[in-house]
Amino acid sequence: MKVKGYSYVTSIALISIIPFLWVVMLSLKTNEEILNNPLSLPSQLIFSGYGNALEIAPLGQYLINSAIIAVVSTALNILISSMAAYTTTRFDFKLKKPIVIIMSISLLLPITALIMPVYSIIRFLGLYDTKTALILVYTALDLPMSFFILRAFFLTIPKELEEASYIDGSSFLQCYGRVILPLTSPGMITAGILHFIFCWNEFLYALTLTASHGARTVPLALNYFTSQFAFDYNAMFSAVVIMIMPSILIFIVFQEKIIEGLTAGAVKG
Amino acid sequence: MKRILAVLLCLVLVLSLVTACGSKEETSSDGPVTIRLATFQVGVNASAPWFASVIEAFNKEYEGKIKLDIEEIPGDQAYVDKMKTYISMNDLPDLVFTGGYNLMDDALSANALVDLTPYFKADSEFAARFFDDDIAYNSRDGKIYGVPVERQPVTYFYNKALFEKAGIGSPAKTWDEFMMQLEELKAAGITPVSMDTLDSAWLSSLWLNSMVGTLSTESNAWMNQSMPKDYNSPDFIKAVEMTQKMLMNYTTKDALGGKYENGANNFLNGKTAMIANGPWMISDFQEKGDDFVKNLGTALYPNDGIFSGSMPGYLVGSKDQAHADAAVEFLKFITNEAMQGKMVEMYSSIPANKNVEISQAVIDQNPLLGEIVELQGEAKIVYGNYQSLWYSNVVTELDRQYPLLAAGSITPEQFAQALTDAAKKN
Repeated sequence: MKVKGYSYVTSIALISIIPFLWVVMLSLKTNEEILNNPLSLPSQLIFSGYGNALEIAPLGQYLINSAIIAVVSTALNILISSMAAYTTTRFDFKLKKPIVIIMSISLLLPITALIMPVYSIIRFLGLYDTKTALILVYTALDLPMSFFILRAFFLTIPKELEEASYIDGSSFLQCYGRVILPLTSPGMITAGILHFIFCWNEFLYALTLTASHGARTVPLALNYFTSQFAFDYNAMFSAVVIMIMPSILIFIVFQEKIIEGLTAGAVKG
Repeated sequence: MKRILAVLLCLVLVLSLVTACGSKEETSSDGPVTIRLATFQVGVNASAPWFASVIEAFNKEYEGKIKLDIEEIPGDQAYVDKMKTYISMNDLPDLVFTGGYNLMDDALSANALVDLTPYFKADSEFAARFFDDDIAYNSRDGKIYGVPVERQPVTYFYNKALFEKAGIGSPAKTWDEFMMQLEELKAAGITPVSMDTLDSAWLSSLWLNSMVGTLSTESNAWMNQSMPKDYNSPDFIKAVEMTQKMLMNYTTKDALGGKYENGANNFLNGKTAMIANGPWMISDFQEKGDDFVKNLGTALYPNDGIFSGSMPGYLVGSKDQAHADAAVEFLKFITNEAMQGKMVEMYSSIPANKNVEISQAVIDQNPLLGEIVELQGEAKIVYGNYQSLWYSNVVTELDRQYPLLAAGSITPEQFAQALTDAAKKN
């Protein structure tokens, strides 16, 4: 039984880690080797791709932009969606049903269909080519997803807990901050991680709503390494490694908190 | 307390909106005119170093008069997509580099382009720089909308050692001879030609276009027309049949599902004997060393065909006279003798400025470029390429149809019908 368990865990770990190791390996091979034998081990280790990656594309600037946009947008998205999810699960008001229905419909809308109206609005607001534009758009685009994740969590919290806190003399904000939020932290972390990944990887809106290095994000940087008649895969895979390093480092630093958040029970003592 | 908080929140929201609405546009009337320029000549693009040097020289010469606000959009497809967004939103930059892509017709139908004819009439020196066919290529209804920056006559390159090994003396003069040479190369254990099936299959499409362009006078006229809607002609189907035969019998296995880079890599490593491509590939050959370059030749397509050197030039999308004037100043600068001469040296491109002579010293250093220039004069049949002439959704459709054609899952007739269906959606 133990052997079965270990082999299961090992295979899951391998499935997760092999793509990353493969990318690292490709970043150390020549272009010729990558195209001729993508699966083979490098005949010699080439580290020049990392230098070339930093030289060809403004990776540093794009990484900083991505980090700012993803962090601020995640905070905003979770703040707004948690408030919306809480009120629609706890209170009865006239627009409750329409709000939930609109959110459900928004989930089904392909984001590519919104590109033109979003572009017009951002231009009208004078936010074109700013980080603020991407922060607002990403926050809004992913709002329905976070809303439903958090709503599902709020629905599992018994009303009696809030009633008990009010009896003990809590105000509304105290009850929300000290009772509700800690209980929904697993949901917040789940929604937050999903939204952060969405912001980090998004390409279409980043391309459409920005024009200068000051606002652009890392997915656009990868386009610097291939064009129709030219390619530098060695530098491109090196750039991919550089791009994913920050998220791996963040996970290593906050590993305990993230796992704790993801595995915490619905009710704390 | 609650009310005060609500009022404060509202104030913050309104203030942030007002601040955000502050436009980034230039406001000063005395300062330099800022013009927006969009380009994909960045990153690994072969022309990026030359373009960077042009920008540096322009900024130096026009300091205090014209300021360039450059939008780098790396990646050809991403660039075309963004320009189409700009066209739909009537927000085209002052200067649009079109590369080999036809953005002119879309922009014209949105009434987004500046008619450049008055600028050509006002400056005879500027007008005299260009070949008539390049200007005709960039004109619609007698009005000039594009300024060519380079010429790209596309031939094909062959590996002399591999030809010799297969007992082939010289490149084929007719398509029958060409098909025989493919068989001879194969019999000698050599993969005859580099091809691809994805990213609109540039390498394969060049062969297909050349066949269509040279099979008959009618098919040549068809291959020179803009935005054709019917692909069901016997010549087109015959050309697809020959291309399918090449894909199924005479190319590498990785052509099925492969892109340009796979085909290029095979030719650069001596695995294939031929590749169809333009002069910009010479810099890749040079990176492989002098011996590799010496072993290469370039030739006209069978029936003495060559892709027209004319290509879509820079477009001007300015909304007012001052910006249009500044944009044209830039175009005069990029097409002057000094910048065009630099282009030949830095990335083996053929200048659009006819007054720029490619010196013997440059040809001695870059004999393949010299051969292409000569072949331009020898060609008897000239035709355009699909990327600048066909509807963009037809070009996208090629991505779906080529793999099926290479796998033998569809017939040439079905291929032609699929392209016709796509074209008719426009």
